[in-house]
Amino acid sequence: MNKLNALGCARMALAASFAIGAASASAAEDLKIGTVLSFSQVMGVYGNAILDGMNFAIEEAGGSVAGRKIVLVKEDDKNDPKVALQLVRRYVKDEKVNFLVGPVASHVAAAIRDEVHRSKTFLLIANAGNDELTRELCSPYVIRTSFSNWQWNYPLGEYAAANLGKRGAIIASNYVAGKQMGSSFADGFKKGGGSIVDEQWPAMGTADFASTMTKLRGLGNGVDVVWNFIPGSGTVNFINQYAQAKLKPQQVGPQSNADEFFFDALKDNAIGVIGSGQYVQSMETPRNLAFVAAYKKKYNRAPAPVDVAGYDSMRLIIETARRLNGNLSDKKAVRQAMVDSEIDSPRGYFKIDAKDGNVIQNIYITKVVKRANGAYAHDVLKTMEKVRDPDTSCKLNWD
Amino acid sequence: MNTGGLIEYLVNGLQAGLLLFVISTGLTLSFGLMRVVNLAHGSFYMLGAFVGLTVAQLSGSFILGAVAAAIGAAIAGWVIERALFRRLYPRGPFAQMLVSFGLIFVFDELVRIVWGGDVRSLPRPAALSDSYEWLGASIEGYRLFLIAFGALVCAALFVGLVRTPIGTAVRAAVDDREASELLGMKVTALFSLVFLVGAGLAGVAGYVAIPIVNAFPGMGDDVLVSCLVVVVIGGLGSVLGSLLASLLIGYALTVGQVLVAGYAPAVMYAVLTLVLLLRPHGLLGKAEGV
Repeated sequence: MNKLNALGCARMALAASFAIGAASASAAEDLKIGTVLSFSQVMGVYGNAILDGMNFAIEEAGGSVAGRKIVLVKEDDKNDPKVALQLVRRYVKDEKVNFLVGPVASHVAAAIRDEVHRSKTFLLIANAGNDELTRELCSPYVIRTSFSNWQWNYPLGEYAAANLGKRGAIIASNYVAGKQMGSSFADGFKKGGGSIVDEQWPAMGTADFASTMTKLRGLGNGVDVVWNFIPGSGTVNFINQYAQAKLKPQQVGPQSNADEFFFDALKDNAIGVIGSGQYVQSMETPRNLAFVAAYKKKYNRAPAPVDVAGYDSMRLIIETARRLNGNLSDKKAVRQAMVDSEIDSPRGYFKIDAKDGNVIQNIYITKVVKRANGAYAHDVLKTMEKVRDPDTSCKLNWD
Repeated sequence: MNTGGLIEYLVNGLQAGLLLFVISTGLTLSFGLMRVVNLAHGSFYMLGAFVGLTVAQLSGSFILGAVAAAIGAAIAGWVIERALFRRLYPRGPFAQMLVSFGLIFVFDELVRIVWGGDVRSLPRPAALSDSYEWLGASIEGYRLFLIAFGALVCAALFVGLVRTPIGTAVRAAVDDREASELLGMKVTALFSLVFLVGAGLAGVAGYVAIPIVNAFPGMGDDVLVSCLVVVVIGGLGSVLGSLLASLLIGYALTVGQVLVAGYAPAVMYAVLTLVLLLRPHGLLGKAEGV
């Protein structure tokens, strides 16, 4: 092939690719949502639950909104910040996604935040509770439908100091979420007149808490409340070992410490553990009863809080697209629609805070009980109404 | 610190160390014999845990579960050795590491597909579920059982290595593989056996660890790092060295968790660094004649 011919070929190829590009642009009516979730390893349980929740909402909406077919693009982020960042770049550049939904872990959320902001692609955080994402590091493109670490733990601290005793110990994995949750609990606990008498920060990945239990036993009757947060499978080890060590202080912590994912592994050791969270499966509101029944029918299992977070994220996206008649090009309008949207969440009150993008919702203080049929469930001890992060450090910057 | 607390730390450290020894022996021996670096060793630990758990739940017998864990992991070890490692001996450590690293993902996903991603627990057998009060310490019966189990495996290994013809052959081959081969020993066949036994031991260790750390896909990844540290500290191929190293790491992790909870793993690496500075070939290793 001579040079001229080669050049001609290249031109034709170029022209053809433009044509294809134009064709796909005009046909790009699919509403594309990229997930930044783990489907394998420890966090896989959460990723799959969020995905189930999203699919449930898509099916409920008939698979499309405002004439646009809803398409999910999903790849395993392996709970790895680097992998997640590459995924986001690829989703934005190659797949041209309209929304991102994810991540489970806070450090993954922190890693993709800048790329999300720069690419002006809306991210709905369906689990990661890192406070900073809706405080100092907030972005108009970041909305959180799950909870913030403060939101779970500050009200729990107030509740514990008022009802369980004034001397508390804090035990959490030594990483961002553990630190944020622990200090939020401590703040609420102190506000309620309590004081923190011991803090322990075991390394991430610690599997055997024998030394922690020994230290707690050494405190004897000097502690009324032990607040703890160990993510992943570690929480099961902690609660089982706490029961084995026959420690007396009341255990409190995020409701996820002892929830549907872990009841099988915890059995009776879970009974009596007090938690806080934004959704309780056993709530007997008509909305929740209907949701749980339909969910069970589809997946043959009851929804956990992360399922609901996935479901609500998708509902919010669908409602936003419906309000804007499928036209998502005006970013400010998209955010406004998300803030204005009202969706009847199974969790109860649900509204996105215009100030920082974090959800305003009820926080339920719960206790694990064993029902007459032998099943474990959460009973609501107290409902903290419409809890909103009071922090004001978020400055929304659109560029 | 009170006496009770001190006793608890001593017991917990001993238990952690002995369990680590049972897990890492296979790695020590396979490295000593064939210079094989099997990064998938932690997967045998996980496989044993899940197979044992299933059998224990179906049969209601804790002991049957342990037997199944050993057999299941040993079979997996045998298959892997026959199908993969045998082809990799001539290709050096890099190929072995790559393949065995890949195997970790294969096994993790396999377990997730077969057993699901949930965390699973196994109650302690009724006879071992009590705690004993002694001098202000509360000592779990199950941890005492783990110590006894570790000590038993340890004794059996040493007797087996010192007193049996096969054990003598293994020691000879670890000492000088070429000479042993020249004398007519079938080192590769010996290696198959060692690999199988090592995998079985890791499997049963994974099973007995469930009441303390639970079973979940990926559970082997964490112990692998500790095992590699043990192999290096102990001196490549030295079983006695790996026993000392296991106890050292067991105590380093326990003490680390008491003193600097957030940095307990760093204490393990500090010990590793210190040992290698003072004894570059490990506690009981000998210099390679290369």
